[in-house]
Amino acid sequence: MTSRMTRREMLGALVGSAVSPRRTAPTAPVSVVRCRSYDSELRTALERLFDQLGGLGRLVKGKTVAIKLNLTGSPTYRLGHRPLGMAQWVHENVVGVVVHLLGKAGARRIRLLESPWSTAEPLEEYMLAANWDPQALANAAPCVEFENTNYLGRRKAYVRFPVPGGGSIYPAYDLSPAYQECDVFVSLAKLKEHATAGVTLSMKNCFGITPCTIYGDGAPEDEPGLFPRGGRTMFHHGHRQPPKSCPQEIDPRSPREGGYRVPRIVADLVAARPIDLAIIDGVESMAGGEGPWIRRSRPISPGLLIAGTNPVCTDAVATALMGFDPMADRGAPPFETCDNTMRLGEELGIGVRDLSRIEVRGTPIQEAVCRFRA
Amino acid sequence: MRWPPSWRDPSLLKLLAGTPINLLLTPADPGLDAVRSEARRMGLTCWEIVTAPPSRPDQIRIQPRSELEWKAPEAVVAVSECVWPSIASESSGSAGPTGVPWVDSNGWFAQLARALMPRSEIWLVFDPPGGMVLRPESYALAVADSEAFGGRWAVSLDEQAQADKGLAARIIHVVGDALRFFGQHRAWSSYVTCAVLGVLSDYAGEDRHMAEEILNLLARRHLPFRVLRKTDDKSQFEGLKAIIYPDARPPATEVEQRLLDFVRQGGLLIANAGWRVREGTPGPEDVHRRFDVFLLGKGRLAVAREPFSDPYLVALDAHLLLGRRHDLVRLWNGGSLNVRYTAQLGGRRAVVHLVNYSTRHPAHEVTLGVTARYRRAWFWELGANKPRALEVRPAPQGVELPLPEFAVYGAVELEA
Repeated sequence: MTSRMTRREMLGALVGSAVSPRRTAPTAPVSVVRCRSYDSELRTALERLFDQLGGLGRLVKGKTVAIKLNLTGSPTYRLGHRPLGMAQWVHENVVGVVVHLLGKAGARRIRLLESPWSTAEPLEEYMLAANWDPQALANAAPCVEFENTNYLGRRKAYVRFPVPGGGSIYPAYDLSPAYQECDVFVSLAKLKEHATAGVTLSMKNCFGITPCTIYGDGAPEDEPGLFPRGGRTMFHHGHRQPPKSCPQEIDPRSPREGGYRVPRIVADLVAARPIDLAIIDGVESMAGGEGPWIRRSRPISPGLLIAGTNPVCTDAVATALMGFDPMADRGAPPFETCDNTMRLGEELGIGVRDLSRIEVRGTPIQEAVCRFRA
Repeated sequence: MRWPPSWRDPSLLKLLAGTPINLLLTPADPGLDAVRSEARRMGLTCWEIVTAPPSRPDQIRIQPRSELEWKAPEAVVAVSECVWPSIASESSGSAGPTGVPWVDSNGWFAQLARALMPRSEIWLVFDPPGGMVLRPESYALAVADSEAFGGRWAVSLDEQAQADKGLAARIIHVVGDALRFFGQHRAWSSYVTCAVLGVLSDYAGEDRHMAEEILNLLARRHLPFRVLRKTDDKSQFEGLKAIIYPDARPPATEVEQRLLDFVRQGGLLIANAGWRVREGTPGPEDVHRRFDVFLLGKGRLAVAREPFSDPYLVALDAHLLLGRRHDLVRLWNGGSLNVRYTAQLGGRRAVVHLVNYSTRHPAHEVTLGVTARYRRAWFWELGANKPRALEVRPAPQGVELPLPEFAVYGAVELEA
């Protein structure tokens, strides 16, 4: 088989061969489907989304599936009057249909996971505060469980996840065992920008797998706290270390800047706890940031669903669908003040971000682009 | 209104012309005789403030809140040690993705006092804070925070307004408009507070602070409460899903049995660590780290493992133990608001009072959720002569109502 390299590929290969393992990162198909609403068309659209990847059965049959939801910020904070699922959160109907389809595909157990900001309340309660109906989600498939992974809860001890290659900021992360006790890990994310990391997609969603009992501002100095206190600004600014019993920073002299630290932490987390299936809800969303607390954020209706088995590839396609270049680096939109998480993921060997090396199945990118900065 | 003692010129009474202010509270100062005389001539009532129990009908004693014994033969109980309603630090009033600001409010106290002294009108006596320029909206907030929760504010002017008659006139105009609005809607005050959570305490002695702060913090969680007394019979528990018993000492056997009956019939009792009876089947150990939970009859008994020390945690735990599925109201983008949900007894109408404690930022893009299926809704802004019809959106639990922007106070009138 012969293939012609584009100029970008050639430059990338030259640079990559010198400084990064990009050439060794794998690729995987990404599925794109149009979907204009969360109503009756959603189920058909999600079925098609997964069928284009070869179906869910081969991935989940007989297995325990953990789904990290993107439920960022407080459930009482809305973009205007829009329900959270129409802006910063993944929509509850997407969660419900995905759970149903996973169950139908033979998943043995499905766990919905999130580490909601600074709280140890049950995930169902957090959902209720947003006016979701967690009972409907529990009924969407056999054996559905909810777990707030922001603290240990009923579990005995955190599990250490080393970062392959040693890590950029921390060598390892202590996480809830829920992220280990699963055969398949799904990142169910939202198609959004992010004030610190440029984009919030399936990789950035994993920022929230970290417990605030360890990585929260109010975490104790020696041991993880019993309850989460504060947000994860230690990840952003590095102004303090996690409790001493947990992995400490590799180089406390490294830049104390969110645009440097957050993308590296995200890429390392995804390397440490690989994503088996990335799903991105872009039916209704918001532009300008990751939540309504970001000034000048506004509603946007991309009408898209995106999925893939490689999070870097999936996020690269999603980034392109938002009207950005996934190959862009610091200084170029949407990474004006940060490093590109996908580049870091690629350098860690997780996946490629070069669109010419990613097979897009379903709606072609050029037909579905929704410019977030029109 | 508490007439400023330095205002000895009777002509200043003209500032009250056309307002609903109809009563002056003055110190027993002969220098104010001319003012009192002119006030009476204008048809105003004048009462003298005294420190001892009143000996005449035109005298009133102002009692410190912390010393109030909830025994009120008087038609009016005037209470000091109230707070100036506001967001404690206005700088945080419009903040962040997750936090809610600390609010100073007398609303919880007005509800408590009304419940424990049901035959008395509750007057809240507090002064504007000194050393700062107050916007007229702050005065409207002082009126709304009292009226929305069943109290009345004894209007008081700050030092700058006392010195600047023009400013005083503007403030009195705003206060007058607010008082007139609540006067026009006096029928709402006959509505009863809707709540699924009761707090049963002596509200006295060592237990007082904890019990009162729990009410304050339940209000901040937008979790309506019913004040319960130990003398209440079972009928007072009707409609409740949970009761908090915050007192350190266990209650008398009779009260204990009444509360255990409430549990057996399906209720949840959240008791302080001193609770005597551990009856029922121990629940799953991991239900709550701060409570031992027993399954008793159709209900649950949750006894604190350690004595209550932080009312914030008690309010939080009560909400979690009860479960948000029992929320009656929810607010989105309403961190600076407190809420009171009231309904006509046996009727189809309800009113949700919303008070915004941020006088710098209007309540903006607030959505109200009510977990009942109301069909029609109207929004009253403070001072409005007629309401605006609201869109009623069906939601998984009840309805959601997107609200228009409002400054200090809004009322949502609901019809089933």
